[in-house]
Formats: sequence, structure tokens, C-alpha cells
Amino acid sequence: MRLKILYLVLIISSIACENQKKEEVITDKPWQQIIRESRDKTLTLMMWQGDPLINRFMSDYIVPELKEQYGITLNIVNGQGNTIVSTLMTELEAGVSSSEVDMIWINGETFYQLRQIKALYGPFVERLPNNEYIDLSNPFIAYDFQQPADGYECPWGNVQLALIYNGEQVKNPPQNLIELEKWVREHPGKFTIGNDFTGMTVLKSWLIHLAGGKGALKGDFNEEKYKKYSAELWEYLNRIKPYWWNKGQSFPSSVAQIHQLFANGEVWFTMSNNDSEVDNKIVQGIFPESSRAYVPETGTIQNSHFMGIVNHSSNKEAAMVVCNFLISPAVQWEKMQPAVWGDGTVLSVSALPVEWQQKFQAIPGRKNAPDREFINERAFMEPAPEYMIRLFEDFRKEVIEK
Amino acid sequence: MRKKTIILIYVLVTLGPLALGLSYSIRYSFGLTGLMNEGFTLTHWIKLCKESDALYSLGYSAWLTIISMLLTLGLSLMLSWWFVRRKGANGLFKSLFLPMLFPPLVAAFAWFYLLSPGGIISRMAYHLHITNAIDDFPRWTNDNYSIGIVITHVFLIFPIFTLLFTAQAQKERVSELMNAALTLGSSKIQFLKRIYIPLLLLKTRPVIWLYGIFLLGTYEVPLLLGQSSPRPVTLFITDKLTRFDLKDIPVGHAMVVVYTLLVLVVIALFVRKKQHLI
Repeated sequence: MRLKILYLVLIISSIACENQKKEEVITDKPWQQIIRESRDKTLTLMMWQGDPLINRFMSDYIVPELKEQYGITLNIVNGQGNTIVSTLMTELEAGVSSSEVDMIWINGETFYQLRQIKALYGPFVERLPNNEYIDLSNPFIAYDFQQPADGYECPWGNVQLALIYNGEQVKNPPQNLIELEKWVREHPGKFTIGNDFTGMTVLKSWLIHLAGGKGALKGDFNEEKYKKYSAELWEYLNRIKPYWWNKGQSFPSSVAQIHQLFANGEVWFTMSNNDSEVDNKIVQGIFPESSRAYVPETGTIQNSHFMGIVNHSSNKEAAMVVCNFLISPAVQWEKMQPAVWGDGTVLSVSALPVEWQQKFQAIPGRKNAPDREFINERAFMEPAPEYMIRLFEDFRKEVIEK
Repeated sequence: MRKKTIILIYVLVTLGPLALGLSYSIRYSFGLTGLMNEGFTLTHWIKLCKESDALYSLGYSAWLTIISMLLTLGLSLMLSWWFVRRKGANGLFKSLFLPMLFPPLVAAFAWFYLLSPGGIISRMAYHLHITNAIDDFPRWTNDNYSIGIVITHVFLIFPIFTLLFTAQAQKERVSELMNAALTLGSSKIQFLKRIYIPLLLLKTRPVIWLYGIFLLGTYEVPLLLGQSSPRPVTLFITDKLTRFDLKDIPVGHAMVVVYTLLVLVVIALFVRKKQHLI
């Protein structure tokens, strides 16, 4: 009897684990027909919902405009990187034919992971009429963590990692690793990084700097280079971590936690993958008015974020309509307003009709965030995703557990 | 026949999902299922054995459980003793229901805002000139000794045990027993040590074990109030299952198997011990 039950359990679980790895064929319907057939469809978008301003932009602008212009209902659910991957992976492993999620907000290693498990629909970007405005000459938009996007994800915004400091407490923010070491020794407990995506982006920026700066880690993952420069990085971190927050004995698990520590004065630096976030947070009353963002001379990583369509979604065409709307000049212009979100556009402004060019040029300047053109000179491209995976693993072994 | 059917349905509903989940994790850890797996392999188990903090995370979870349970039981026994002897403390008794309304995540946040160096107590200490700077306040969150985690655990479960012990004491007519013991020449301390505490612990043993298992699997509280290392087994598993490296997922499933078997062994030991007593 017991053996029979065991067999039954194994059979059921093996049935549930059948994979459905199949490539989708891209639709060749005329665009107007796609728009017509997408009317009255309901889509689910899974995205990070950790910022009230972004949430407001989505719920107060995107959702009603999509309904009004295309008759599409967009439901937004919370979830980022790992949640998206595990949700879709579980569905694929269970053989689900129609995903609960139609669209996903992704970049970098999430894109890499989803491509590994064939969870992304595409290449679809070339089918979008607004594709003609995307600035594909910009490698920061055309590539995602050294991987060509290849039309499997639609660029939506472009940002750069920036450090944020309290201008009242920090008069001359450190511009390189030597100055940072000097600063943390003089101000023990006032600096840290998170053991999360943003923290790893900081480490990647430092790794590229140690390797020689721009282009030093270009191309596929290089084990030899990684070992050499990561060893230097761990040595540096272990040398200065006793002067970090909580004596380097623990690291915040999310950037939100560092923001919290920064807001209540426990640390004097925080960081953001969005170079303009400082203005948002001041507007929301979370950061003190004296907060400033900057990109140190050593440089930081700039990357784009994208919209992907789930391969086993039953609303792929409607999702394409939504993607096309999201890269329209109107949405990109609205999203770029510092008071709305302040997200960099993925469009080539010079390719837009003249009236839109003028509108983009008239967007009010940033108050406390650095100038985009200036920090662009200090921008690194994302290295291959394996660097992130290895840094995350080794940061625990070489720094946290030591 | 009807009784057997009901038992079968109960077993299927309660143990069925557990058995399915466990078998899935076993298959995953041996490479027999999963999008990234390519057939039977022991690689993931070998990798788990080589993980420096795998065993450490199990030990840390056990340590957190034991410390939290010992403090909770001690506090609850003291409070129940106090409530049994002072029957008039009704308002205070009812206030015990309040912490039970807190979900673990909310309780963790509340204690974080209270105990962290930038938190309420630290700020009060600073304004009252007890400390010279906010940083002078001792670190009770994300600390070396897991003080914040243990305090939050105790806060979450001591009311349940206080209520349970008090109700059990009343059911066992402890007041009358104590009067009899005192009349026969026993002291209050002797009664407490030899009758009250052993009696209540024995009678509520199943609940104590169940809460022990509950604390072993705690997630939200150490996530917010713990250190990056050591991390409890639940965080170890979550990291493996959901972080950046898809090749680590089978290692996470191997740890799920280890953890589930450990819990089953604990339950088996408890059941066996109980049968011996019967």
C-alpha cells in the first residue's frame, strides 16, 4: 500500500513537471488588425512597485490612457526579477499553457534567465510602429548586460547608478575608491551597500573600475579577469568594511532599507539605479532637502530597462499594442518629467517629429540629480550577466561570512 | 468504513500536498525535473554539502528556536503564575490578546522602528541626554546576538503561552493544589518548581513542540532584523530558489528536503516519546 502511494506521488509530480519548451512564431498580421483584435482584452503586467511615483504614473496615466485609446484593461501586479523568473519557471515546469502574467518589466540578469528557460516571446520589437524612434545606435539601449536584446524585450527607459548623499553632512563626496576609504575611516558607520541588485551594481561598477574602466570587461564572461579583479575588490572591501554601517557585520537586504537608514540619518549615503530618484524622494518627503545625487569619477553602470512579453501568454498581440504605446513619444515624454518619474527616454529625440523634439527639449531640468549628458561620460556598460551571478555568490563567501 | 474514508480524506488533504512537494524537491535535487536539469545527478547534493553556511544555517535556526522558546516559556510561566494568584488582573489579562493581532512582518517592522539605532527608543535616549549621539545606542537589530529577532519572537508568542498556561492552571485547580501543598508545609518556591512548572509544561507539550517547529521555519522576522550572515535555513532556501543563479535552484530544493526531513524527525521523536509516556 505504502509503495503504491509513493508511486502515485512520483507519477503525479512527474506529470506536473513536463516541460513545454516551444518557440513561438511571431504574428504577421497588419498592425491595425492587431489593434482591432486587442480591444477589450485584459492584460496582466508584473512589475516592481516599490516607488509611489512610478506606481502613480502607471495607475493614473498608463492604465486610463490604454483603456481610452485601445480599449485594453491593464492589471498591474507586484513582482520583480526573481519573482518573475520563479513564477514563469514554475508555470513552465507545470506545463501551464496560458500564463497568468502577460507582460513583465525586466532587464539584465532577469532577461538572461528568461532567455535561458525560453520564457520570452519574440523577436517582436521590429513589429512595433514606434520602433522607428528607438535609439538603437545607443549601445546602452541595444544591449542588455552585454546581450543583444534581439527584439525579445522592448526598451522602455534608461538610467544610471548614482550615489546619493546628504549635502549638509557630506561636503565633498568621495570621487574614487581611495577617497571613499579615507572618508569611511573618518566617518565610521555612515556608509554601506545592500546585499541586493543595487548593491551588486555598485560592486560591478567598482570591479570595472579596478579592471581598467570603460570596456575593460566587455564581451563574454572572462574567468581569469574576474578572479584577478574580484580578488582586489574583496581585499579592498574587507579592509574598509569594519568602518561601514554596523561595522560591516551585516548588509541591508534591499535598497529600500538603505533609503530608510539614510532618511533617519543612520547612514549618510544611499544609492539608486535611477540617477534622478533623489528628486522624486525629496518631492515625496522621504529624503531630506539637502540630498544630492552624483556619479563619482570612477564611473557607474548605465543600463536600460525593458518590457518583455511572456511566451506562453494568451494575449501576446495585445501586449505588443501596450509595448508600442509605452514607447510612444507621449508616454516617454510624460515619464521623463522630473515631477512624474524622471526616467531617461529610450527614444532618439532627433528622430522625432519637430513638435516632439521641442517638447522633449523643454522638459524642466533636474534639481538635485546630476546632468544626464555629464554623467553619460562616466557611464559603464553592464558586463556579462555571469559577473553579477558570481559577484553575488562571492560577496557572501568573501566578505559577508568573513 | 465511513470512519476509514474520513481518515483517508484527512490524510490526503493534510499529507498529500506535503508528500507531493517533498517528492518534487527530491526529484529536482537529483536532477530528475526542472527546466535547467538534464537527468539524474548527485552534483547538487555534493554542492550543498560543500556550501559553507548550509549546516550553519540549520544550526542557527535551531539556536534561534531554542533561545526564543526558553525565554517565552520562562516569561509565560512567570506571568501565568502571577495571573493565577491575582484573579483580579482581568484588564491586564485581556491586553495579552493585543500582540496576537500582529502578523510577524508587522511585528518585525514595529520592533525595528523601536530598537534600531535610528529608532524611537534611541531618539528618546538621545533627547533625554542618556546617550550623546544616536549612534551611541546599543545595536539590537541586525546585531551579532540576534537580540531583535528573539525579542520579536517572544513578543509574538508569549501571550499565547501565558493564556494557555493560565487556562491550564485553572483547569488543573492549581490554586487549590497550592493551598493544600502550603498547608502540608511546602514553600511557594517548592510548589512552583516541583508542581506548577512541570505540570504545565507536561500538559502543554504538544503546543510547545508545534510552536518550536513554527519558529524553526520563521522567515520575515530574521529577514528584517537579522544579519546577512548567519542566515536561518528559510532565508538560505529562499536565496537559493529565487536569486540570480538558476543553477542554484536544485541546491535550494536539496536543502528543502533536508529541512523537511529534519522537521519530520522532530515530529517522529515527539510522537514516539509521547507513546512511551502513555
